[in-house]
Amino acid sequence: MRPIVIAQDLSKTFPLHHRVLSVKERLMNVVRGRRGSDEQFDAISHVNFEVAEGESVALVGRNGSGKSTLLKMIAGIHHATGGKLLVRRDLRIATMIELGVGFHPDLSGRENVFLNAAIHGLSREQIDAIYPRVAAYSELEPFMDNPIKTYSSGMVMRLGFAVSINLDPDLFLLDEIFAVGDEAFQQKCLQSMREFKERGRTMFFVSHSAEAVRQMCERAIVLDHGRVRFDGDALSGIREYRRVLTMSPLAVDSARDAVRPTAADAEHSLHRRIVGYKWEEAGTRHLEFLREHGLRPTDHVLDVGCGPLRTGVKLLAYLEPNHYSGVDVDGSMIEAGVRIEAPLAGVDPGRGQYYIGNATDLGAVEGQFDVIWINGLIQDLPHEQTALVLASAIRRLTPGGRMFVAYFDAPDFFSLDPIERPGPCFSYFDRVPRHFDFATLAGYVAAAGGCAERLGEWGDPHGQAMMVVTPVQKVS
Amino acid sequence: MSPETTADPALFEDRAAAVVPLGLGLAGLLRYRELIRNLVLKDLKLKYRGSALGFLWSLANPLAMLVVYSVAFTYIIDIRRPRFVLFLFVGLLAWTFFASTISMATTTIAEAGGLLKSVRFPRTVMPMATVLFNLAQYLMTFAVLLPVMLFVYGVGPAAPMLAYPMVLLLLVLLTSGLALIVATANVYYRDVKHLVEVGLQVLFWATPVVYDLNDVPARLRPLILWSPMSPFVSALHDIFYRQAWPGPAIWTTAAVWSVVVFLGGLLVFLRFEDRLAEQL
Repeated sequence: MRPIVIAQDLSKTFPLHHRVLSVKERLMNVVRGRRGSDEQFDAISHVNFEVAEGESVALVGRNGSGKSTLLKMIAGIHHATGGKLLVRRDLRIATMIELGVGFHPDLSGRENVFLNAAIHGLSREQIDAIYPRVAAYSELEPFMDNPIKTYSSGMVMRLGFAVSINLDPDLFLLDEIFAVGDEAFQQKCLQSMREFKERGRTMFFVSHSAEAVRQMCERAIVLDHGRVRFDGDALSGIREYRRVLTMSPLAVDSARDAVRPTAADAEHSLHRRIVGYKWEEAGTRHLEFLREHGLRPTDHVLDVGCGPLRTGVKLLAYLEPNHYSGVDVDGSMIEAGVRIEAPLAGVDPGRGQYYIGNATDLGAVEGQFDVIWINGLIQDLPHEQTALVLASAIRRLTPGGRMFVAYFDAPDFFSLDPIERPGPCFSYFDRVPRHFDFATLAGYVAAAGGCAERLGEWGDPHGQAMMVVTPVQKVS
Repeated sequence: MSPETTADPALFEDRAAAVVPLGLGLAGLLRYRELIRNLVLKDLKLKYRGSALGFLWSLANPLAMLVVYSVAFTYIIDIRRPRFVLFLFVGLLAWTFFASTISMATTTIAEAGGLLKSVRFPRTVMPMATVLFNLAQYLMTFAVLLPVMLFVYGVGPAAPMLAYPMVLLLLVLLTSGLALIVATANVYYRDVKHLVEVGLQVLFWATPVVYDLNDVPARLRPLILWSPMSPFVSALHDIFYRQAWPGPAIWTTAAVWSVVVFLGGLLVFLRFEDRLAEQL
């Protein structure tokens, strides 16, 4: 395969205090004998890679790692301060760095398509030729003569993507576009990207989402502080990326130290107060419940929102080693579980894997799971995050796997009045702890390719209801 | 596969070493003519979209100014120039084209930050679209009002009017060059915007729009010719007001101004073009 993009010892530095100076400020700097900005920031340093035609490469790394800068350099928007960046001359390049940029709100959809395609360097004839395809792809034909200020943001996005994908580029540079938009549109984008790949076109894709990278790319370049930390297959790249952040595994060895906690320490500790009362009772009941529903020690279990391992310590003791994985956004909670609760319960926390990160993207978690346990999590999340957590988790179920989701049940979506729960406490429609109606949750599950069933009373000490989710079997 | 053997410079562009040469800069403008066309049409459409009188509004501004200046100079300051309105009309419209282009072009790059940061295209397109938008406005107004003026004053077609396209071409070159310079400078120094506003005020009175270059005392005349617009307005006075061919002095100053400013502006712009997005 012929190379398309070659970076040799590529570097880029930005002045650190980067803003427009007025003439007065520049004069003052001259008078005081100092340069405007001496401090520099190495956005990209000594990067080497070679990308061949037909490769789809993910650029991943935490915020500020240089991935967007690198993308903009390939696009020819930023310019290197050192090394070489060779890009084939005969390529048609499409960039999707910001969606909807270059659209004018007062122009109609049609006029904006023409303007946007022209920005990408197309001639009149070429634009005339692609226009019908753009209109059809965007599914906005009836609205093409309305000014786009009347469009929803989702419609503008659809139009933007429709233009870019129909430019039929040889090299496609995308920056984090799947962060927004409805599920159906995301699926359509992903499908188009797959077709794009199948036609042997080249793509660079900047993303925070391990899930999107997993679906779209074979190769990943992991950047950390402007340097290439890893360059290889996407799955290994995701694993490496997880180490650099977003979802970082907790090193159990460093968390497990010599302090022997006592029952009294734990009883009055902050983490137990945050998680709630009936600590022991709840944990015991959770394991009991799972066993009643067929949990076996050989199952792989993912505990989403595991906190300080209230259920986790029971599962760690019951399951075979390395069959328990816990995810929580709050690292100090997991640490409390590993340091205090596990030793107190007499189990070795080294029997499990722990990930610190947001449960809305589980792409960095290794493996598929027979049982996914979500308890004490979604009542603290807004609806859209709940939907993301469910969608993300469903993809990690084995074909015969089941996901158990505990939630405060409400009779219907607009249950606006607070509902009293044992405790006593209340659940609310519009703030946490939040209640959900089953139909809404089942809808989120169905949209993500799962099937939800509502269980009756299951003896939860906190009075939560239970939903069981199974993945819909794909008929292929 | 070693990069050294595969990276044929004929096939690859080194994005690290990018200062755009003059030739490529002009070729880029040509290649992106569809974008320029779209940008100009966009501005023309948006300017009058939704207004009942539409294009008629673009006649309102020059007509209002003509009335105000005519009244002021004929009845208050008492300039006894025959056919004063025609005289004023010819120079004022050209001046308006120049001044509104320069003041719009100043912010054309600075305000397109989002676009510049996400798509690569020749940045020259933006100020050039501004020039052409204003040119289109100027020509439409001029084409409507000139015949009216000539008819009212009983001026028939005359041979020197054939010089108009040449004057116009030079005027467009001058305006483009200056537009490129102010657009670039304003990205680096936001003071430029204010400087341009003040500068245009001064230039207006340093340019023979409301007075005749021939009436300027001889020792002051070289000073007036330092205003880049002076030879152009003067040439237009010759052509339409006096129906005479502009003299060699006028042609020379006009040509020197426009070629020097245009090439200078283009070189300055291309020199900084690739860094504009990073500055915004």
